[in-house]
Amino acid sequence: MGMLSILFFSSVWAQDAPQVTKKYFIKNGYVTTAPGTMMKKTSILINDGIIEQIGENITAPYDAEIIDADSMYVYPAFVAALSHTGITAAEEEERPRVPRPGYPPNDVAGITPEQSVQDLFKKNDAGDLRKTGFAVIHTAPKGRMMPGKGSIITTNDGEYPEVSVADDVSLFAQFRGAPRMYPATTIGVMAKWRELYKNAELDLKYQKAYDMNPVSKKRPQIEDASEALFAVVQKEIPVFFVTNEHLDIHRAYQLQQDLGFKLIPSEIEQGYLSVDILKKMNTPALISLDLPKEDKSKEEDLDEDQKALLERKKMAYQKTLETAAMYEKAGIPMAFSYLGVKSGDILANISKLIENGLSEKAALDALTTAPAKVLGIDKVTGTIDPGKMANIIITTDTLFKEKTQIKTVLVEGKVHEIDIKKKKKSEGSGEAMDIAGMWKYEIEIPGMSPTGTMNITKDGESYAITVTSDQNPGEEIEATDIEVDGSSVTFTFVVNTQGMSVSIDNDLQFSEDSIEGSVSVANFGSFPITGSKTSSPE
Amino acid sequence: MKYKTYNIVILAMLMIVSLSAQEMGDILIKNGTVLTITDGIKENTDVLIKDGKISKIGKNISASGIKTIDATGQYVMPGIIDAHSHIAIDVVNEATDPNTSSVFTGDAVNPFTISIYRALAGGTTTSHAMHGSANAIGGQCETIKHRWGVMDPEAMKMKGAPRTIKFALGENPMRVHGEGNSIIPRTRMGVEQIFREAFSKAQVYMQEWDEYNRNPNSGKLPPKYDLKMETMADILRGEIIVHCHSYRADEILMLVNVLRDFGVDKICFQHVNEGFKVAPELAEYGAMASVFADWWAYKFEVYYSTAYNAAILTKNGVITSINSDDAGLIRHLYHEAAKTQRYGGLTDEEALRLITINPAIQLGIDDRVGSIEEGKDGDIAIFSAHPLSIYAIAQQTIVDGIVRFDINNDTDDMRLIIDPEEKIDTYIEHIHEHEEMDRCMQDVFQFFAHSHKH
Repeated sequence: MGMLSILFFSSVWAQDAPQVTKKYFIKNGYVTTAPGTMMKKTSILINDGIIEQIGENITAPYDAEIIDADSMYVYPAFVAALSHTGITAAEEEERPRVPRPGYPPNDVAGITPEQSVQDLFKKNDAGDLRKTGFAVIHTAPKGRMMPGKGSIITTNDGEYPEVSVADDVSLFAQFRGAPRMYPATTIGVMAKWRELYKNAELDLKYQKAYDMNPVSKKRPQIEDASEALFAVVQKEIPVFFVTNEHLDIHRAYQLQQDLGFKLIPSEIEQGYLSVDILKKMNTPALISLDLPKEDKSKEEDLDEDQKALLERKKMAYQKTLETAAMYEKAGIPMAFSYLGVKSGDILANISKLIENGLSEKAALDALTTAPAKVLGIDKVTGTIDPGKMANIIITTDTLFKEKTQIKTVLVEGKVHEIDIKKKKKSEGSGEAMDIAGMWKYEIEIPGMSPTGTMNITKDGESYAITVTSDQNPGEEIEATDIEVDGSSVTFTFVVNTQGMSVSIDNDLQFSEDSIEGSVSVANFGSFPITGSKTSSPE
Repeated sequence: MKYKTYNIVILAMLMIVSLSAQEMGDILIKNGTVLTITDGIKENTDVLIKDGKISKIGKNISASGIKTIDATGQYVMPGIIDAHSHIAIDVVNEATDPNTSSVFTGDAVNPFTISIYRALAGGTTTSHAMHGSANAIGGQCETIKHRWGVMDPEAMKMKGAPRTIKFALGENPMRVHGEGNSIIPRTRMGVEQIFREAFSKAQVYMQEWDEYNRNPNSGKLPPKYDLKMETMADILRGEIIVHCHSYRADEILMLVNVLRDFGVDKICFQHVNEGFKVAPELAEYGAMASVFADWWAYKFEVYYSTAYNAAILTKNGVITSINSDDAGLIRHLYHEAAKTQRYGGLTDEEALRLITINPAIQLGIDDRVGSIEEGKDGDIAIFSAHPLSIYAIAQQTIVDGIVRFDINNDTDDMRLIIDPEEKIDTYIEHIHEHEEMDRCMQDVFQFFAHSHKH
């Protein structure tokens, strides 16, 4: 087991200390109540999860806990318009066999609009997005063409239904066919959509007629999938359709035109081609933050043809980064979606969009007011206004600056302090530090504190690190991806157990004889680590 | 060199902008040898296209302020039409059922497919983007115009063209479903039964809906909506032209009999390699034929073939065309047509009809394309020599009065879009991928391979 034992105590850190008060007073910050505004020396009073008062001259009640925001910046917490938070993909048979591939059961073919997040929400990993500043998330089931209905949750720790804000608020859809059965392809998926939709319309019509007067009528027998589409047919809920590529947007729009549902094109990756169609559609667009990687090939290694191709790739990359700015200019309402992006990359990627022409106001809109509106929850969140949920973040500087860090996230009035990472570069010092030696460490995880050793040896310019755990003596694990920058050291090691390999990332600051830093464990979160030197190299 | 590279990129970007900005253009083509197809050959003649339509054919036409092409010494013919191809669509086969009449290749049109540009470089301006031949009753197909440069797949579609559907006889549907999944059709008898059953059910389906629609607000239980049956019913109503993949004469007659029994008369046989054996019967039924010039022996049922097929069918009064079924052949259909002069002695006009007005008739679009006539669409191919000459090279290809291919503006990388993460060598791989021989069975291979593993 070794270090992995820390993975199996997720319930431990879900239990926070009991709240002493329900009142909080964020004192004297630079407050942005809505994108594009900024008020100095402003305070906010929160009571029982709701924002009560905002102003320069308000005073803290005697029973409020004061959160000092002096020289800090306060923003509405973010809203994620689409993610798979808390959802584990259903296990699928690799090659399911059905007797007639043209007529598979709906669930095998990926048609489960009746599935609800409330039944699928397993492992609450919302903490990852919370650290990045999110308070509210729209999460949707995983699957194939029609995986199910999405729900809105807060990023507080906890189980269903306590984290739920609203259930079954959307239908999630993709152009993803079934394995070796109908509908296997995009054209199959589109045909199936039309057929399901028309039948839902007919079923709904008959159900209504029956409800009005059941006499002499055959009892309606409606399939689950059809009934689950009633809300879509009646335009009560929108369809969040994954449209990665430009042509996907056109295809989803074609279906929308044929059938008439409310469409939200989502997880757009090739959106720079789609300005015209999105303007025509007159709908909010959800841009993927899973940005492509830039090709950094060196021109001198390439022949003329390859150079020409590289040039075109770079142009396409550039256009991708300019997508959000194009939409802003074209007046296309936009938010982001989070199906592909790693939570750690979100703000950095938004900064790239800003460097490429997106205004900071539009970026904040796309993180707050716009997704709130798309989800129909703009009355309760998205801005800092009296009466709204106390979803607030406090940052060390203005948002979108490289060095700005999120210090505190309030989710429905619940305060989450975020560990501020030490700056990676020890500015000024610059001089390399010799970290070789034997170190012992302790990881601070509530309820347990794994300890062990790190044996760091120097070989020429590079280091090797061997990690042991006191909980599992005898086992030694070699670290990889070791990067040393002054006194900052990052490395990774992988623990293999029970067929799982879990990657553990270390981000440490070394001084003469001590270590401080954080350890993040796969999706489980990040924990403080401390340590001290026990011996220098022999 | 860096400068040159940059220029190419800019050029490509400009292409996108300039081409997508408009869909109908004005052009005057001066002083060419005009092969009208339907009205003989006109030497030293001008063709004026206004707002995408041929507005005037004659001598000494002048029009100020519009693009003029000097075609002196060149041959001006109607844009070539391919009645059977699979280019410009992302999906060819929904191979999951012997009847997939619910699906529609028009849903998967991809205007960025480089094959469109290459087809233009061979004078082809219109093609029939067909579903594949994995299923006895395949998907509905889309007739597209090669408007290279548009970003909207809808803009590729030839609006107003009649609906068409793919049927398939013989080995492909038997192999995919019979052998692959142990369901009907395992034999050629089974293939026939697929059609008969589908049409019979569609007749019942139509009756049920007619009954319901007589009083749709009565509160009665509606029939279940079945998109396959909807399509089959529309075939019975004569709203859809059937294009049927076929090789053997016995099967061809089988389908004629099935269609006669159900009153369906819009039928064009595709490939139809043994069509020469049953040409009089086809002519009598009014069935049409779209053939290869000389392509056969790629599977057992395609051995009994002849390069005289097109000529024999033509001489028997069958409306005949020559098609490509392939992203390579679509670039030189004029060569394919010329082969009928070596094998069968067709006249120039007869040979050219095989790739112009005849495929237009087969697609139901002969009122708009397939010949140079006033009022028709401004779709023109200009060749350096007579298009049936082996020395002919396409110079410019015009769709709706807009030049979509110009040999003098033809750089190495004419792709409209690229993936910022593609591997630098992917371009080469990409080309190979799209030069597969028989795209009729595209998307089936994976499906099929899995089926055999159990």
